[in-house]
Amino acid sequence: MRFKIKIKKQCHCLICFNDLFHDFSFQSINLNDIPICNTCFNQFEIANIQDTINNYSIWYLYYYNDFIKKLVYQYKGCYDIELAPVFLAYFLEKIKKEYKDYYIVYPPSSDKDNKERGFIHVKEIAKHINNNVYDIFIKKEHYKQSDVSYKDRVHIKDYIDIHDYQILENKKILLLDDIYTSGNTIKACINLIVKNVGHFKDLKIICIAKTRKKNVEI
Amino acid sequence: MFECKVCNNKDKRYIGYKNNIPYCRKCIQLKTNAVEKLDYEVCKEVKANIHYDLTDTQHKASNEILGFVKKNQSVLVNAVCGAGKTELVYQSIEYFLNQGKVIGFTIPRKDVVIEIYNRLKKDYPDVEVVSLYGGHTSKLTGQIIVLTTYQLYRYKNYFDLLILDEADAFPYYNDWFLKRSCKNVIIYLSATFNEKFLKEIPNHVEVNRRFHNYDLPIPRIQKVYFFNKIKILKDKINEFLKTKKQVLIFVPTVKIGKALASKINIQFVYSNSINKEKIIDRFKKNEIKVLITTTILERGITIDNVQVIVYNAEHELFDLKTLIQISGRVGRKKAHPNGDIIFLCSKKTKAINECVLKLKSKNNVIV
Repeated sequence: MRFKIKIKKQCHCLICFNDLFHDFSFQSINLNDIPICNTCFNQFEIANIQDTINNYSIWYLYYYNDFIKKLVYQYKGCYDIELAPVFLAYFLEKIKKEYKDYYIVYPPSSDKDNKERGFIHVKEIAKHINNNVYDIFIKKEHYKQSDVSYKDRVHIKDYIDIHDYQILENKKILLLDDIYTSGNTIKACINLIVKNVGHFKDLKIICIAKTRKKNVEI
Repeated sequence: MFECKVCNNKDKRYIGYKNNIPYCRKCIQLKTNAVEKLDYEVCKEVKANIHYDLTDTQHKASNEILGFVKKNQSVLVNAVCGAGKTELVYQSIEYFLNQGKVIGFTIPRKDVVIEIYNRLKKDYPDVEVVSLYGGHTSKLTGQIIVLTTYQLYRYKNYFDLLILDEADAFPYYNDWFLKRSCKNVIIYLSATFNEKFLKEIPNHVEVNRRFHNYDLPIPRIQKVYFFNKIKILKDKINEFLKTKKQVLIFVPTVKIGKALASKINIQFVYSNSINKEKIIDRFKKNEIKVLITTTILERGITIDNVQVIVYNAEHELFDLKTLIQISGRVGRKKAHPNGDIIFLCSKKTKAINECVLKLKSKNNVIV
């Protein structure tokens, strides 16, 4: 058991701006460095599922619900960079420990969007894990996965390319993505790494939010 | 010290840093790239084919509004529920259209936006009418723009005439982006303005009669206690159902509504319920007889021959404004100008007493 009681400089919740201790509970101790109030925290639906994809292990942190949708919109769409640490919050300690010496890569987003936004959204989140973050994937053309129907999402592999991958040689790699829907982006990225990087020690994947599959039968 | 240019916020907790440059997080969701350009096809000399007859009271009020608007002055229209507020502003809309100016019409509720959009489109076939609400924002420019009040943040110095329906329902009333979106004249419409509003805008137009010229129905107050609350409620509902009338039951909070719905087995709608629109639509078509609702249905809904019961009327969320609006749901059609409003409460609050007094006083005004 380990208790950390700190007097923080910033005592307001990053999401709802309320005083952090207006609804204090012992759960909050888990989130030691990131100011999130209990009410906001309870709206995350924690999934914590370990699965495999193309024989590599993948870890989903949360389910994609309305709350995460709103957060992602505010973060990606409204350019609110301060929200970056919120997404890992509950798992941050564990991820930091486990992936200390991993090299983090992330799927690409289009240059135009990044310029307008002023930051690369997954990169900001990844920076909270460790400092070995590498930008190795590029998008060849402007192509938005979220605009495409579920069936046509397979074609994303034609739009992604890899460069400067020599740095990953003989290293442990962590692939971080924000939202998992069809899995095609992740699969394309894995294939590119396997094909181009000759030898690597380990490859693990973390997805922040997983969309629930709609049951067709019911 | 950093101060947000848009919302004048100085509070430290709302300020974030992006690449060491401060930015405001309070108004970040209203991305501030507002429309300023005027690009629409001006259509002069509009002849509307409107099919409506104004009553004498309405005609008088309409002329008064036009008088103020012609002098470029903002005006506040304080009209009782069911007075036909929308019809009152048609004359002013026409006046501005003929000068080739831009008109904005804002309503808090999405379905009313669609309703008024269809009406204006039919009435002015030559004019570019655009509707704008959450999830339907592809086209932003036109000569008449019908929009939900929230969407006003998209416009900056844009409208020559801005009509704010249910102006007091808007949480940002008096706020920065209301005033910045309008260049010239604002018409405020509501039944329940507060003192602050009345003071701020000197030009008033009052309408104290409904368009069908019947009295406003006065609520009946029924004292109940925790042990007979449900029984009395059930009795009242059965009484109404025997005479084939529809009943709306208002509850203050979602929690109370859910508990009540499971107790007496009646459908409940609230802001987050799954197929809200469908249920409300079915209620309007008289397929559902009884419905429990929160205050989401307090404004802008007209159902023929509906009776209203307010459950837990002593709750603090039922203030004067809300109670008057709820009472205004009854007897809006000419076919059934009267109806029952019952406040079930354990004690009489200030709001309940004031509501009854105010409605009575409106009935006593001689026109």
